[in-house]
Amino acid sequence: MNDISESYRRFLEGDDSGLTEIIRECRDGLILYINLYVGNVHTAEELAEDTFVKLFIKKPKDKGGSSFRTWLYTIGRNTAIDYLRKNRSRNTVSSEELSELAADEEQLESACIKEERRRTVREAMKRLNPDYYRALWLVYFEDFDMKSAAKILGRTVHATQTLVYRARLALKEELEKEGFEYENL
Amino acid sequence: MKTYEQTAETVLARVRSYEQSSVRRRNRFLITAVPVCVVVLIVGALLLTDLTGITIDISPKKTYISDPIPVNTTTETTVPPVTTTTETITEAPVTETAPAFVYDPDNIVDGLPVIDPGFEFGAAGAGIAGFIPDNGIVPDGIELFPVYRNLSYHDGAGISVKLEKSELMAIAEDIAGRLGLTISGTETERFGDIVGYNSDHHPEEMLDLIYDVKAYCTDGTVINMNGYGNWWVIFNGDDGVALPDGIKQITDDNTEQLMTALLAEYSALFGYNDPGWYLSDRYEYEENGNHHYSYIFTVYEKSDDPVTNAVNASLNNCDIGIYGDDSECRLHLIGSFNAEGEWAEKVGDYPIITEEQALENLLAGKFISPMSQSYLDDHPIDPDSIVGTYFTYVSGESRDFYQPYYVFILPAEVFPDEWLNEKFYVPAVQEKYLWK
Repeated sequence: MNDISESYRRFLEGDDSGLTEIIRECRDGLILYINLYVGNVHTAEELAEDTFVKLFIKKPKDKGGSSFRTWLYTIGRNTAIDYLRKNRSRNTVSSEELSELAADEEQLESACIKEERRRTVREAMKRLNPDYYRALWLVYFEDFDMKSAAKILGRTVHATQTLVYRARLALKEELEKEGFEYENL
Repeated sequence: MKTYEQTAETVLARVRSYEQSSVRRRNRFLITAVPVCVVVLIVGALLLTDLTGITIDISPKKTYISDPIPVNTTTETTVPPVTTTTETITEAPVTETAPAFVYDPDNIVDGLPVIDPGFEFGAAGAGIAGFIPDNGIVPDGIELFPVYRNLSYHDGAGISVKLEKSELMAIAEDIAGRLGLTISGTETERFGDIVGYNSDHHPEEMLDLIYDVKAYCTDGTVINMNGYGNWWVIFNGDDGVALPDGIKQITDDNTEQLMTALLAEYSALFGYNDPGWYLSDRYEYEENGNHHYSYIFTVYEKSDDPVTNAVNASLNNCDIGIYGDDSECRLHLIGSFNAEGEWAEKVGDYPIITEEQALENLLAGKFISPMSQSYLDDHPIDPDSIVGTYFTYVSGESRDFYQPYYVFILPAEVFPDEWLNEKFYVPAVQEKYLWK
């Protein structure tokens, strides 16, 4: 049983510190993932909060392994897509808010991605097709296995493998443009 | 932004608030509704028994199957190769969400309902087009193409469950029979384990339904089914099986030979009388100095009628997946991923534009792509940079309508600062029939 599962077990038994621990461990990554859909880190923060509320209300039975995080990210993705559907004509933001958004996103990334080289990779990923970006994020930054990533993305495992292969190819091209040696990743 | 402690505090407060309101709602229900219901049920049962002599029975569990309406437009259109005959109940799937486009059959232009041109965020325009499929669809000289309405719409947050476990097993048995295989065991996966817990889209009663079924055959073949009706066969785990006629690598010279052999070997599975095929996708990548290859061939029932042929090639088909590396390419997968066609109905035959008019629309910005309009305003598309065009239907569970598009391929270098999207979809249906 991993740490998150242990925290979740304690939350189910009435210990609220378990919930706090889960949010400490998972919040920033979830916000960054939702941000890949909504493109606004403040909105992503609100939707991540909604995601946690949904999960803690439902209290699904944890089977150990990576299932808890898989649920969390699946619900996070669903919540993000719901938001996009309800807000098709996206709100415009002022230039001041744009600067604040960028600063908050950078701060969040710095907290999540300590290694400089991984930050470079993430910068290159931002230029990819969003489907590629999301798949790579789950597999390489959140360490989901292919089956879990497929569940989160709502695709078959094979389709996800194909997506990740193609994404890696596209990422390689992006990195090579910057003289980055992909094989050293 | 909030700190994680602040977030935890807010989340905990919302969870506790929900739990308290839930208790209050339950208490109110117990105090008021339950006694009333009990009285009504007792009186009703007594009356029914007294007056009719009917014994009250428990109704069988309903399945979430809507009345299937095939995509077929003429008698020549193919019947899907794998079908079920289970009794169906006409009822909206409980996973269905409201379509993005409000379909109004009374909103008529020249005798045809207005349709949604088909924008769905991150869907239509998000494809990388490394390969331009030659699907053989040539709309030249054809004025009308059918458009289908998706009766099982759901967005990316949902999954439709159309078939129940017994039906999925029946299809798996059918496929095994067509392949001459014996099923030795099955594995199922609950809907709730796949979608997580999302009360907005998936009511509690959905969660215990079976969505995925894997049927393991004695020779190592695995038949996969899902509750939406898609199926695919995986040959020999991750290893696949050898290609026929001793073919190790696919080249322009042996593709015809390969497909002739594959279509003959799996003719019972496809069930086509006159199969057609095209290479729908191909890509390769290098890993540790080894080249990996992936080929997807699409097969379908050919027709002398070009419209039926286009519908079959785009919407009513099966895929063959062949993967491998420099040492050998092998057959890994055969599947049908077009189940949505079974949950659709024809809206009408719509006049379409020509490729030249589609190009004009493309240059005028009337296309579907996730590129921001402001960016495109500053970076107009150069028609000389278009590297390919093809005509196809686009389907998918999260689309309101299945309709034809002209797809224009632009190299990624045109938009170096943006996403690497290269496909630009221009609706083929004349603009006056499209919702704005």
